[in-house]
Amino acid sequence: MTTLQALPRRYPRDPRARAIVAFAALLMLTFALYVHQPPSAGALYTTFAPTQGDIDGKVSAFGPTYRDHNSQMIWQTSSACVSTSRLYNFCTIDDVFEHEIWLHNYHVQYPESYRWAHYNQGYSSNLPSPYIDVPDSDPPQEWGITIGSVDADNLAAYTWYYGNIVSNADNPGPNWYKLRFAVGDTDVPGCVTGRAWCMLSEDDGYIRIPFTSYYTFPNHLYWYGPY
Amino acid sequence: MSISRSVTTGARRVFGQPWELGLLAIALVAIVAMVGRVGAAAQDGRQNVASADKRLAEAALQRQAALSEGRVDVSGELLISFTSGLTLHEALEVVRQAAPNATPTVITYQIEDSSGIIHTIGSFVSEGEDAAEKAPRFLAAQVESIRGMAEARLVCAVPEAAGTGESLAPDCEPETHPTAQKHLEAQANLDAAAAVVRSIQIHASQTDAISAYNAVGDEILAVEQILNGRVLGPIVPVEGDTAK
Repeated sequence: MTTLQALPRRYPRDPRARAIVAFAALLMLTFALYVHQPPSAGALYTTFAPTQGDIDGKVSAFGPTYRDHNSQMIWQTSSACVSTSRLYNFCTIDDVFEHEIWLHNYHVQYPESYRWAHYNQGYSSNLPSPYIDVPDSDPPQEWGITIGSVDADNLAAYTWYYGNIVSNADNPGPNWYKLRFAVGDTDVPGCVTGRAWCMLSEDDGYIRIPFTSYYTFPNHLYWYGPY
Repeated sequence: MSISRSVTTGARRVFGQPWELGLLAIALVAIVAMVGRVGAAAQDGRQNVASADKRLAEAALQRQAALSEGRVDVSGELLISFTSGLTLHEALEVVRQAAPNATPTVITYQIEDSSGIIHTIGSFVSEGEDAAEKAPRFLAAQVESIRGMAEARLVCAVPEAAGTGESLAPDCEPETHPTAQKHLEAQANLDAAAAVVRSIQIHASQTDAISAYNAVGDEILAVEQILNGRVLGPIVPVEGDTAK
């Protein structure tokens, strides 16, 4: 019993005492694990943004009085509910994802005169349970072209998702835009409509292309990363 | 000998040393705390569920009563969803019968491709536009666009007219991941003829709205009220209800 003899004197040598110590330690460990609040699936993990995509603003195939905003995106990541996955934040059933395009020209006094699209008129998407966001509570200086998924827990890795939003044509441009992603929650079960306000509380947002990049519509842009 | 001394002495006979008794006390406290926490959580959960059920039931009853008495304004935007996919003609006819004077504002199609992905196409109908004319045209244009995106992504053949002068990225590369390829190939073969209408949003008067609520059944799955872009939820039809 060399090992035991080498132990400090205060360590109990009685087997019964050691068993009690072990039992108590196990109980305390169990208790600590129980009261510890693990990060919920809704908690943010580094970033939730897609890893690659493109964005294309052009005169609509539906007619010259409309604009098309075609966006594609993919999450090149591991399966959804692993903490290292980009999709980890969408694991719970009420999670909502939004792909937002915002139009503005901050360099002019009246950016509306450069706004090249206004009033969304329709959409198509293969996002799970997609909806097109309504402008309620949006800042008046910017025009949002936002498509969301109210069933973001069904987003899959290595699948190209798209969201096409058709808007009324306005001025010919060029019009600055920014590309932003958001993750949040809804408490509206079955919020699957043509036009809806499904993200009731935003957990986090990520601006992939800020206005200060000066990318404008009409144009087609590929973006990669960050990975 | 005092009681406490008796207890201490007795405990020492069993456990030998005071620290053993201390450890056991800690373990007991931990067990009691865990049991208490689990019990409290379960109790809270039961109370919350019961409370929520009660509130929902009360709200439903109040709404039904108010609706039948004409005290609730349910006019405005309503979402009518169907029990199964219908053709546009069928869906418009169902809506016409349920709410004769209502105006369709959004037609929502769905197409399931061969890889199991659901494609949703929503055509908004403005005032004065004919839903029966606009929606199929919109559907056809969108399906063509959807197919084109997949084809371009598979081979990365971007039309010159698209203008690819600006880029945050290296040049587009053809998709090679097998899962992504499978979905893109299915998307490239999307067929507009396979589209079915899943829901129609309408603008309805109070009379039409109540009529629509009472038409929930074989073909209409639910009628939901939408206010400021938010779905207020389904309303249970009221037996024998009439418009007030």
